[in-house]
Amino acid sequence: MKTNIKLALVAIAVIFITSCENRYAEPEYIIPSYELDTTKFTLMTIEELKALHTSGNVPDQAPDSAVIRGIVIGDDRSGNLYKSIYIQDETGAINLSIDKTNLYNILPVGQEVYVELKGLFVGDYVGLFQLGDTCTDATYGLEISRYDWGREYLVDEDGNSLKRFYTNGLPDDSQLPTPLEITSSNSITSDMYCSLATLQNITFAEGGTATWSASEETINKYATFEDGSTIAVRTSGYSNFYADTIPTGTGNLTGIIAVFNSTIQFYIRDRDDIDF
Amino acid sequence: MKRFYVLLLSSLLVVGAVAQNRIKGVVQFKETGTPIEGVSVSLTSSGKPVFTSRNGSFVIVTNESGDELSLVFTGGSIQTLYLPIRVTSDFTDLGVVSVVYDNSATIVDDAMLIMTETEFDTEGSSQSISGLLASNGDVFSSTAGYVFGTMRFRVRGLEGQYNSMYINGVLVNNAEKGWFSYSQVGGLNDMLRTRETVNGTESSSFTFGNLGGAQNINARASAIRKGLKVSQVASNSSYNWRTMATYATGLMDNGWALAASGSWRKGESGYVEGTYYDAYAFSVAAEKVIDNDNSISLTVMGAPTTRGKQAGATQEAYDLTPSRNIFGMLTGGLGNNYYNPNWGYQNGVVRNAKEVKAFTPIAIASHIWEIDEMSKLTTSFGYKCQMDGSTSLNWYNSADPRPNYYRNLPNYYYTMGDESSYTNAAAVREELWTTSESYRQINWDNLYATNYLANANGLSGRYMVENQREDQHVFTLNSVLNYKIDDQWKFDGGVEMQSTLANHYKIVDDLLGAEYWLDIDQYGERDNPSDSDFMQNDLNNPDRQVTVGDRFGYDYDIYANSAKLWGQATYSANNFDAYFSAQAEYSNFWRDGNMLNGRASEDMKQYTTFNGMAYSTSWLQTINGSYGASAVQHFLTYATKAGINYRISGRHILALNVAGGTNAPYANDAFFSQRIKNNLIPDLTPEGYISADLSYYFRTPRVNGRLTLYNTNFFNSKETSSFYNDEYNTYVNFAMYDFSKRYTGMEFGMEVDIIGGFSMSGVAALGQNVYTSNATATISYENGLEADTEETININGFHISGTPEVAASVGFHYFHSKYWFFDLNVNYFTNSYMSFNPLRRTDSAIAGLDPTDETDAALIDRITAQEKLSGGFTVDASIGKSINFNYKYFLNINLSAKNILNNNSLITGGYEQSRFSTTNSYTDRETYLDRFPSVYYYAYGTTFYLNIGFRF
Repeated sequence: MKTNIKLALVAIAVIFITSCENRYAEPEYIIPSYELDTTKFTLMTIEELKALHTSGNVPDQAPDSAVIRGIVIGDDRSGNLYKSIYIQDETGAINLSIDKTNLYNILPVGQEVYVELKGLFVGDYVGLFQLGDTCTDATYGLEISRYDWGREYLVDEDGNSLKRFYTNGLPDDSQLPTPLEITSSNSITSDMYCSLATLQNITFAEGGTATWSASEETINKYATFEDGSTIAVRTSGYSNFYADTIPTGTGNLTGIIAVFNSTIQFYIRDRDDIDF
Repeated sequence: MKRFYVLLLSSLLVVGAVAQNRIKGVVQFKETGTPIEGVSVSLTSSGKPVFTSRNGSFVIVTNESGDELSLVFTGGSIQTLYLPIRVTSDFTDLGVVSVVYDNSATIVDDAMLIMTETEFDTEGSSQSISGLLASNGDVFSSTAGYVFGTMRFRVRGLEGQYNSMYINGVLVNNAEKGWFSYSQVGGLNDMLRTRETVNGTESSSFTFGNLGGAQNINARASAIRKGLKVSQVASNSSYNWRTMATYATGLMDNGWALAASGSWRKGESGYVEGTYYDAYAFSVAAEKVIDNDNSISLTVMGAPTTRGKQAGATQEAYDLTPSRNIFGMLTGGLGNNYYNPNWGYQNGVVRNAKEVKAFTPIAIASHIWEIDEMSKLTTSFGYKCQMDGSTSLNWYNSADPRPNYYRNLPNYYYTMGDESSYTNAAAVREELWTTSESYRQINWDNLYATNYLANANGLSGRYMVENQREDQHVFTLNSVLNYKIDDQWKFDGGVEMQSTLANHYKIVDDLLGAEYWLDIDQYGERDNPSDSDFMQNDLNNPDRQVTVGDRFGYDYDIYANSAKLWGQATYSANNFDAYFSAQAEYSNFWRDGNMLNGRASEDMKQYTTFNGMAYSTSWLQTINGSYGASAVQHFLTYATKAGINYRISGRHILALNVAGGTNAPYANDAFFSQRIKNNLIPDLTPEGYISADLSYYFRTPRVNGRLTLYNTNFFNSKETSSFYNDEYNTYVNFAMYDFSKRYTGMEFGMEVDIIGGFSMSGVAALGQNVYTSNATATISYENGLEADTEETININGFHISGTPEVAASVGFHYFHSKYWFFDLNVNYFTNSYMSFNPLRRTDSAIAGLDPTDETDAALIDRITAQEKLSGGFTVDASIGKSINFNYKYFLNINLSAKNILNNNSLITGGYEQSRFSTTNSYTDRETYLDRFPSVYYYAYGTTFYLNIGFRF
């Protein structure tokens, strides 16, 4: 009798254990690939796209059949960039203005990306060229509005996807363009805006004393090149390094050259960009 | 010793001389004359049943006499029979009592167990719905459990911790939280049929009792109906089918009784989409009658269960979801109050993110010693091993994976403004929600893709499924003495000792394709990024990379011990019974943290309390430790009760019970942020209560029933709730204390035997369950983003949520002599109240608003008023047929349908979202209310339950 009970218990335990196995097969990892359908689209360079727009004007609609391609050079992983991504190709770089956080989980640094431009707009935010959505509200003036990422999941009446942003392959830092080497703020020209760059041999007056930023504030800290010219290094109080102390001495910073009106602003992407 | 008791008890009540009468009889099936074992027989006036033996015989001993007595015969398989009798001498032989076979009671049982074992999944806490299973013979209790269960009705409004559940004499309620979880014995219906029920505070022979009542299930092998029974259930409710088989030998000539039961419950998709169900249950029991005086027994039971849970949603989400008919087919329109955000497709397979993976085997060894004719000692030892897990998605620096995250619905954009970018975004969300199932449900494939990309970038996982475990080892020793001193006096008493070792922790259940998970708190990291200690969940193992099966997040033990001593004296006279009971209890608990949390890393200060009187008052600042053992908290509590049954005549009885005492706090209500630290609420003094109920029972040949008035007041109560705050991605704990509450109302139940198999029943509960004072609360953000604060919560006059206060039912029953039966119930429910967000009832929530200003006053009302839910009607029906083959084989077919009018608009409850702030500079109070509306749960529409059983 006891043996039977034991056997029953064992059988039940076995049933239970086997029933606890993970029942869900992992989805296969399909490395994304994008092949340009040349019967429908033509590839446009970022420089050509930016040429469609004159800084200070209302956003311009991008051509329906054009596609741009670029490598992501700046994402929002550290929180220093917010709802924006920078991509660059051989001809130039542009900011993608997208109404979504944690974009780095889709478009990380080193990722090749294709953007089908139908329905998108190219414009500028006081000098910074952006790809995004138009905005008809007067309150927003000439500013481009952020692309609603929800549109990526829509389909049209015929069931065709309205997705615009496509990734190709895995992120690969070897695809990144060589950063521009900047040794003086005087050498920065407007065609460099949005590009990946390294500020060479700079010194922070507040090195060792101040932090990059303050909680929930965005603050400029000024660095001096060897020639005495200065540049604003702008840091968000939502970044994961804002409370770090600015390094002392002379070193290099890698990041994105941005502009606000006539002020050059430099954004580092994360702690790894600091080389002091 | 005996003399001592007599002396002791004699001093309590005046002894009156009464005669003792014996009533005997044999219960048989009408058609065949087959004797029936296990039928409960009781005098309607006193209520304590005896059970028929194997040859169908019973003997009742009573002090009552006269010609207005009646007996009630009831049990799992007979139609309840009220038999008027006349007792004129000290020995009455009724001869053969013929009863009719009926399986409807079994159906009510089964249907109730289905409801109770599928616990309702609300935010903050998961509570079992019904306190006790139906007690046979009381129409109010059986209707309240079965019919009102649909609307989560709680008898007298009392929560689960005020009902005590025993199996073979062993208390099985959860020592940390108080209530019993029926899912632990789900699927073992045949093992639970024999039970003794104590309603409210009436006298009891197996325990001191509890305010809401107590129940002792006899799952010993000899109590299980002899023979083999197999049954098959098909349903569209919690599960789709159930296969169950039970075999019991009954007490054999060699003194052994053996029983075994097993079942499998399976559901691909329950009534609510994504709520699949896969549960096994087993039980084995053995009992040996050693000699005339001694028997020993062992019963083991358990029900390993995996099921997908339901979650509530805002009305907006329900209204935008495509509607389905009762067969689950799309109707083309919108509006589905059973939308469930918990599931989504993974590789085309439905996967629920919130799964219950639970298994709580229970073993009870018991010894019954019939010391002599007058005394019986029942000693039981129980061991319960709880392995409860509940899964949930976790994410790190990535988009909220829950499909009904507020930014995925149009309402958020409407509350942002009327600029076209917002109205466009709202239109996009509306289109996606109404047309795309992958948008409306969890997109598992996307979560994997995100993790794969994180792997490629050398990052830790962005998404994972965690399993929150609540494990327990519970040891219980219980000994009860039933001693009949003489014809008038009876003594019941016992000791009950319980020790619970609980371990709470999270493990990685599934990494969703990620390589590892980094055990830090992302908001701790975001807000204090330069403090590498603050973000750590375990400073003893900082920046730990965990994989499947590893513990992370939190890990702590709770130790809870108790010892009770109770006694009850009962005095029986000719026209009344009276009893007095008292209990003293010592209990303690403490917490032992296994992780050193970065948000609670200070050294612990050891303070000890007794009965909650803390030796330090500066608790908030001084005790902030997470690792190691807290001080032991000691409590000494007591309880007393007394009551009298006065027989106006054998058919009209008045019963009065009064009770008063104290309850030690539960560990779960005492540590206000127990996942991460040892901090205790500042007032741990025991809860006090005083309760009284008055009942009038009437038992006439055609009409029987009862009317009860009750009132229970609690003082110095405690209650903890925990809400997930998606703004901070953390749990916010509200520990409320120093408040009073009152449960008052009436219960009415009546059965009328009309004619020719027709009968009617009427049942009504009218109650009011309210907080009678404001509360004080400690508000604690688990990730430490806000300092712990203590605030007054203005809830005086608020209603206790989770149950309708008004419930009524009228039933029509027909029983045909060819074993057909038909039941129809029309039910009405109203006065349910929403669970409230304490943050909105603080003084600061309405600070700066002028109540004399019309606009401000309206806003104050919006912020603070408690929502009352509208009620409604439901109709239930069932039909059945029993076929017997020479009274050896029985085939029962029952089909029952609940809510046959498919009323889809009955809200059973809900809660207010926890997001509310008066300090956010971007969002004002009105916007918070608009943007984060309440979440509702709806009662199911029409559900069917078909049960085919075969017994021989």
